[in-house]
Amino acid sequence: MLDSFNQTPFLHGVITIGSFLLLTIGLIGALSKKNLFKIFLSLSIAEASLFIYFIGMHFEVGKVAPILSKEVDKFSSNMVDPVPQAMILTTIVIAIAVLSLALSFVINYFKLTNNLRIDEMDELGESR
Amino acid sequence: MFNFEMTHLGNLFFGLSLIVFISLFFVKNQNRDIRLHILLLTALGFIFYASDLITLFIGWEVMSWSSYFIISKNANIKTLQKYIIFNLAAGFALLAAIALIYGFSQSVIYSEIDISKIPHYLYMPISILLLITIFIKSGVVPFHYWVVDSYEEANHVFSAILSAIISKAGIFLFILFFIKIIGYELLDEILFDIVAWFGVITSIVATFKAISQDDLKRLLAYSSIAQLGYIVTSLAILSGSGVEAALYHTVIHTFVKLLLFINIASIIYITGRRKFSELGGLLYHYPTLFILLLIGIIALAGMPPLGGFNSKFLIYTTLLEEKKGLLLAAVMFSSASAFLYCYKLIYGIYLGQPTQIKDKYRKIPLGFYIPQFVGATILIVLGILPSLGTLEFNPILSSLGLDTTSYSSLFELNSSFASFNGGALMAIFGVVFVVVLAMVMSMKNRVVNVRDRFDISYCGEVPDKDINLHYGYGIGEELKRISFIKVILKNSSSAIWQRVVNVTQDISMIVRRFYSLSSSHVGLVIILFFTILLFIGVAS
Amino acid sequence: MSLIYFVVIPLLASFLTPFYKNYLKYISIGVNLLLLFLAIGFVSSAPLVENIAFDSALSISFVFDEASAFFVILFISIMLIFSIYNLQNENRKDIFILSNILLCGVLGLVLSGDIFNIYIFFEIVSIVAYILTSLNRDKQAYSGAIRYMIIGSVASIFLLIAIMSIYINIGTLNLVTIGERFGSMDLNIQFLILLSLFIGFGIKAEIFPLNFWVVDIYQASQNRVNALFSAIISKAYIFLFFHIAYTLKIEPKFLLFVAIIGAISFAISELSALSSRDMKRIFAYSTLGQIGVLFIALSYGNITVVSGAIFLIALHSITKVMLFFALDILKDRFNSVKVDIFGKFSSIFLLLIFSIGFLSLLGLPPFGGFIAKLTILKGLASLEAYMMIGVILIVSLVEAVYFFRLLALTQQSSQKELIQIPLLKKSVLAFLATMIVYFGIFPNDLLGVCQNVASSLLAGAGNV
Repeated sequence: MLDSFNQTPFLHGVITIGSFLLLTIGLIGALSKKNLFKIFLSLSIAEASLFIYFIGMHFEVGKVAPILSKEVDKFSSNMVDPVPQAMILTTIVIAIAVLSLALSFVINYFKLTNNLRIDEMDELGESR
Repeated sequence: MFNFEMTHLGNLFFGLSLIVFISLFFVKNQNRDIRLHILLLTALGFIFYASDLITLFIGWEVMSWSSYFIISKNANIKTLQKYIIFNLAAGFALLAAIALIYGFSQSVIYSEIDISKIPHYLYMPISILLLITIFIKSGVVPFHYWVVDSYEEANHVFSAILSAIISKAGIFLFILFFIKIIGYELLDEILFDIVAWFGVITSIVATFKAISQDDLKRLLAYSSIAQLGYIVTSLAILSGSGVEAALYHTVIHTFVKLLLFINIASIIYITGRRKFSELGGLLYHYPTLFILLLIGIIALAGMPPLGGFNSKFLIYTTLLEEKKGLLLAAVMFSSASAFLYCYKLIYGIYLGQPTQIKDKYRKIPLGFYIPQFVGATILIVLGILPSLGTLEFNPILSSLGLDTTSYSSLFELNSSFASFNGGALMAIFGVVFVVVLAMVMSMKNRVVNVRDRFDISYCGEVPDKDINLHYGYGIGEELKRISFIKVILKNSSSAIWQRVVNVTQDISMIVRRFYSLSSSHVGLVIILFFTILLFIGVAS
Repeated sequence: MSLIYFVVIPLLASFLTPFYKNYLKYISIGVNLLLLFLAIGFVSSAPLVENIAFDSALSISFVFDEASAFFVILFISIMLIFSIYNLQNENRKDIFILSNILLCGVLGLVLSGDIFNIYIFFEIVSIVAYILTSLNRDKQAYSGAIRYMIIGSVASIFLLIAIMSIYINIGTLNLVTIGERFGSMDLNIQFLILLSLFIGFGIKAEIFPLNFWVVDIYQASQNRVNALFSAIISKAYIFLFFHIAYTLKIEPKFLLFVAIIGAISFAISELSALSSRDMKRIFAYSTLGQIGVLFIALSYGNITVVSGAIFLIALHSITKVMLFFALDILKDRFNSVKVDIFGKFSSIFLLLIFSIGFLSLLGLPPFGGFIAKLTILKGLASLEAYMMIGVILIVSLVEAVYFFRLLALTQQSSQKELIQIPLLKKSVLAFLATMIVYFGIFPNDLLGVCQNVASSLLAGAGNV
């Protein structure tokens, strides 16, 4: 019975639904949460959902990881596509860098104003 | 890149500008910026001598912003805003018309513009855009909102330039586009009937507003608007005699306003006062100024023997030729009413009870006299030799493809209905003037001079200090009791334009809130936007 | 001589800073000059495609056609002027590190020929922009930087969605191949990808309704940084938006929608500027308005209109850099950027600079902005897009209201202080003003270049 779960379309379906849910959670969180940390956390969740989606959609049952070694010295067709994995690695690094920059800004802002709520950030705007 | 061509039309207008600028150079005027004036003169040269639309437009806009900078030294912000917004609206309407012509015709040089390539449904929009430009620049009602305040608050020399030259730019544009480039056979008759009525209504409204003004410069500003109304009406007839009448009145009006504005400038220089209620009785101290103003008044009102009569004569003749009876009646009505403000001008300053001047009666620098003498001379010369104008205008008319007027001698002005001899007129009037002057002089000793305007004790009544006894000041007060005129004077276009300004300000404040959204509202806006996008996407 | 030097040299110059801390300014100017000469040297061999690593549908490629050449030279020149202007600014030398990385990122954006590389450089420029916003290190700067990061991350997410959908459905990352195969995809997926690209690039290219954040960011950052934002960063993203749009061969209905969005953006920003009282915000609104005009013009795939848009890009960058530098001088003197500082200074030179800048932005002759506007309007007239002509002219009138109000303020006589401007800044400002006047009076050379750029942009990435 568990074999019916081990089919490619089923896996793709689960991953699509799951990442769509995560993306929604992330985007809604980014727009509606008031605490700065929670906003950036939600954005990280949204980005993570995209990573899961992309890698997951390229996985097919029965294929192996695209790693070369002494025995296997060229790419064959039963390996998963390596390009998405390279792309996602790069993107994860970028996301980490952006997140750390964001957190450092939040910490510095907190040191100056003691405020972590986005709707109380009123330094910018037209002064009457 | 810039294309120029010396045309007769350009020569006429640029010649007028040069005479005005050079004669005004001698008037003593502090904080005048010569560089801006030279820029303005160069821009005018670009407009009048351009042979392609882009050069014309460059000159037009440089004229707008350089005159803005000249005015900005004296005027306050509201007036400046009015000035530049209306003039830029005129400029942008011109730009729209040029873009439409250029987009289809592929060339901007006047002689190469191919009107047949422009689709027919565009003729009316292009004409209306050009008419908006001309109306705004010439101060035709209801676009005259900017004119009066700008003339009043600019420095006196520049008011003369504004009234004498810059208002004529619209006239030049009319002749250039509607007769030379587009050719009036292609235009709608109905449109130009409406234009003629706009001109006449402008002159009637402005005349009555002029009569009721208390400030010297505002009266002259409204008078300028009224005179330009006559020119616009005459141009809208679109025939050879119409254009000739318009050009003649342009020339006359330039010199009349040059004379009048500098006369006013000298009065303000002497007394420091600008209102009729504070002036009077300067005749005996400044008789030269009085004579010069008298010449200006006679020409402004269109009376013989001076040049003003010639142009009025030609305007009436044109209207009669084209059988526009109602227009003729309206122009005559407005022209007759113009006598009232002419009279107010001269009575209010020079006649009547004297002004209270604190200092002694100063001597006026020679510079103030030069433009006035230039203007007066030309008006007198044109009065004696009226066909001098025809001589100038015939080449222009023939280059535009219109009928020219014939003349037998320079002393005579001919039209299709009548002709008159200017030299004879001047001689008769001169003799009569001298006789009357001699009579007045001999009666001078029997006239009681009232030194103090409150000294009417022999009437048995002692007035209060704040009752103004000057008869000239009150001209126009009693007019408000005529209901037709009261309606004209009470309503003004400023209500409409002020409404537009207020609505725009309110929209601006509402719209600006979009840019200070907090993030919770952001979500709402974005979701709304994408729902709309989704519907559009699904529908297509 | 490889195209990759455009990316590598400024990056190295920035990372090797610890070795020449004291000479950083001069090294930066040297780097800018070097890159400028490199770019001019490459122009003769345009169009050029360079592949790094292996030739296949998955390689990294750099493309140097006329459109990229124009933008590369424009950005390097503006960065050069920026570096020269900041030579005497002793207090913050670290801006040079950031400006070099910015140059690397922006040049990579313009030159890169595959979509994932675009994403990488997109992120590099975003990160540098975040840090540049916070340069002042006060609470306004951090507030602005945080808001910018939130919106920027949302933009990255949508761009990632688009890239992932493209890769899953088309299987390649190379722009040319994507362009060829895009039209044959399922219509719903096409719509999804276009929507995500619109949101992702639209947020960064500052188009309505995604530009609500821009004005606050301009207020939060320094004036010199504002100059970089409006002259370089936004133009790079606009180029990217339309480069991809014309590569994917989107149908004209969608581009008409973009033009309408551009018109709405122009109208709303200029209307908002009317009631604003803060000079930086006014300049920001004006930038958003001009971006709206650029969107209108670039969406009509007609060579006259697009060449007018390219001319406007060059002119607008020069004008905004000049205006922000002039505003910087005023801010140093009066320590405020409210509108009333305009009534307090008396310097003929600054008055001339502001007048030339404002008149050129309005599109009045004889300045360069007029030629751009005329070309765009003439092209729109030949396309019979009359409503657009009307909208552009009427909103320009609204723009004229507040610019002339500022100029009128300078003439009101009140307590005025004379301002001494250092010679270097004066000469930079004078140079920029002269360029504006020169392009207004002798526009034909630049117009010819813009026409080449326009034809190359309209052909998309597949024309080499």
